[in-house]
Amino acid sequence: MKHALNSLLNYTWPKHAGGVTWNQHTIAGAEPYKELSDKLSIEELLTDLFDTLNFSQFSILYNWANECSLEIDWNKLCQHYNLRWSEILKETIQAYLETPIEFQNWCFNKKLSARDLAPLLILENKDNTVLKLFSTLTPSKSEGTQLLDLICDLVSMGVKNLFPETEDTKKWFKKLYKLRHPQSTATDSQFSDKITAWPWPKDFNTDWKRTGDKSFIDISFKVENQNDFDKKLSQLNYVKDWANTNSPTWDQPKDNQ
Amino acid sequence: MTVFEKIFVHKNAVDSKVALRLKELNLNFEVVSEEPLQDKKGELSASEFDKSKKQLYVKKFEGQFFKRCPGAKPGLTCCNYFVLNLGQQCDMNCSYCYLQSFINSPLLTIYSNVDDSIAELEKMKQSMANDKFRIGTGEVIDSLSLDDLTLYSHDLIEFFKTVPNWQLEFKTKSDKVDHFLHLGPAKNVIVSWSLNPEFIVSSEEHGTASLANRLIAAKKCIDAGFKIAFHIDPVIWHENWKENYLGLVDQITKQFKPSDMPYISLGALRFQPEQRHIMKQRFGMKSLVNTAELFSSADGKLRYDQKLRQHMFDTIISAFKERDSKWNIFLCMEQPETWLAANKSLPKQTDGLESLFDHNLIRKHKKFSEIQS
Ligand code: SF4
Repeated sequence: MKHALNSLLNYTWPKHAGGVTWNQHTIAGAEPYKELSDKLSIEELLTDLFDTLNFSQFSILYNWANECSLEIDWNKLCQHYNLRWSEILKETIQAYLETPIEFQNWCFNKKLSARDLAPLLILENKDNTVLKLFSTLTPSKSEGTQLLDLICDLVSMGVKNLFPETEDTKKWFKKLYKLRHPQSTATDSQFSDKITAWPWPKDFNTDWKRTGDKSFIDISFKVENQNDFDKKLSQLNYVKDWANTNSPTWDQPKDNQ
Repeated sequence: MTVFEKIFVHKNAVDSKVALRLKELNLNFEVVSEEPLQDKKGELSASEFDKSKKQLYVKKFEGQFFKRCPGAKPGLTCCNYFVLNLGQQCDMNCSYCYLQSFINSPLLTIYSNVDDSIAELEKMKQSMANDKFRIGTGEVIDSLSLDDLTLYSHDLIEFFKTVPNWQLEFKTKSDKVDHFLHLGPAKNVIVSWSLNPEFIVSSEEHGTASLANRLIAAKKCIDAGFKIAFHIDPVIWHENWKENYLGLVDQITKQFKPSDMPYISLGALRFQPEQRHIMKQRFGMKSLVNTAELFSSADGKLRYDQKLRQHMFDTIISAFKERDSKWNIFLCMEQPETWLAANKSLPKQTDGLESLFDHNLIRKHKKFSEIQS
């Protein structure tokens, strides 16, 4: 016996309410069934019973309808769920349905949109074992979408060994980011090494940072009074002069870049 | 000439010059009373986008032809450039093309009413003939790749000859110039080419003219009395970028003099982040633009690391200046700090480029548009 559509969609249905079928296909609940194909169109019934559906649920519905060989006006249905029935949506649904079930479950729980899943479209084989890890490592939605982007790029670039060393998602992200941005991470770490070697005063905190397309030295220090301020500025000046003499082109990337 | 799989002509454009030209060239078309494939409008899939390059639709344009360059946004240093849109989509196929995030129609559209666009310009001419407008036709369509079909260059060149203070720019990656050379000289008509080393042309700029052919076409335009300009854009990082871009500088400086062109503009690879998916689907992960290490920049576009961009720009600018200090180079679509680093001054303060960034003119045109609407 096939599962009722409502349970596939994770839509709760009151036990005592009996079930609903449309043309013998179980839409919701269990026996005794009420057959509604003579009263409502399938689109009307679906939108009446399942008022909102996220992308994962919509994909499951699409899959179910195809398995049942049901003719559905997807344009009409999409309008109700604030989607646009298009080639690209169809491709994304198909791609999503080909991913490992563990990944699908994570997407379902995190309510990912079709746009979030667009990176999948470049994968030749969507049933990739790396994606299974989403259900065990349970990254947040924003971590997960960034990881997915990196994984799809790296898999398509033929990069191997994408598995994490630990169960820490942040470390996994760092590893994948480095694999995807080998030159920039190497350059950033060269910059970082360079500035760490500078003669900073002990109570200055310095770090090489990147925000978007910009990388820079992040300096922080505390100032207690005017005298202290003068002192810190002259110390800073000393570091600047030191850098000018010892490393005049420190802010330029290496020529092999 | 570009071969289309299918050509549609709207019934409102059947008597247009383009439709007559299609007949003259024996190109079959279907006359339609409604826009075809309307159900496909919206975000296109990779294969739909590919197909849209092969289906031509000729129709009358009902909106305003003449607009300000969309690159003019806060945080970006952009010139006072205006655009005249005579169609949309392109028959060539560059991996980084920004149309991939812009086009939402499954058709390559050409507007049939070039006369209306000229009427619009005529109106402006009455009150602004002495202003220094710079107007380009290559914003959402290549200016010349289909011009051997439409011959729009003929009407535009003739019109611009009557407004010597205005500049018309045909921006292209094609080499289709022969059909309008007889209309020269026209010193306020600039034919400009986006240039890249041949290595990038063949790997990323599919269906475009080779670098050598673009340079030959540029020479022909100079000889016929047109001005030319070059845009080295987008600069694309790759292993041998330095060698290849210095080679490009060599090719340009050996064949042209600084006095042959008012400027050369430089820009590095950039695109909207949403565009990355369709680019990857269409060109795969062997493409240099898809494997590039890009970061989100102030305007939300993905770009190379700022220091790397600066380094590439510095290298190219220095190479030009070493060969002749008179080369006028400017950075288009760049943030002020990159400008400053490369030029030591902002564009409005750079000799020879002040007129490209005339904000009074921008305000004046805005006012004119408000009065008109
Ligand atoms: S020539 Fe220009 S418009 Fe045409 S595909 Fe290339 S970038 Fe796009």
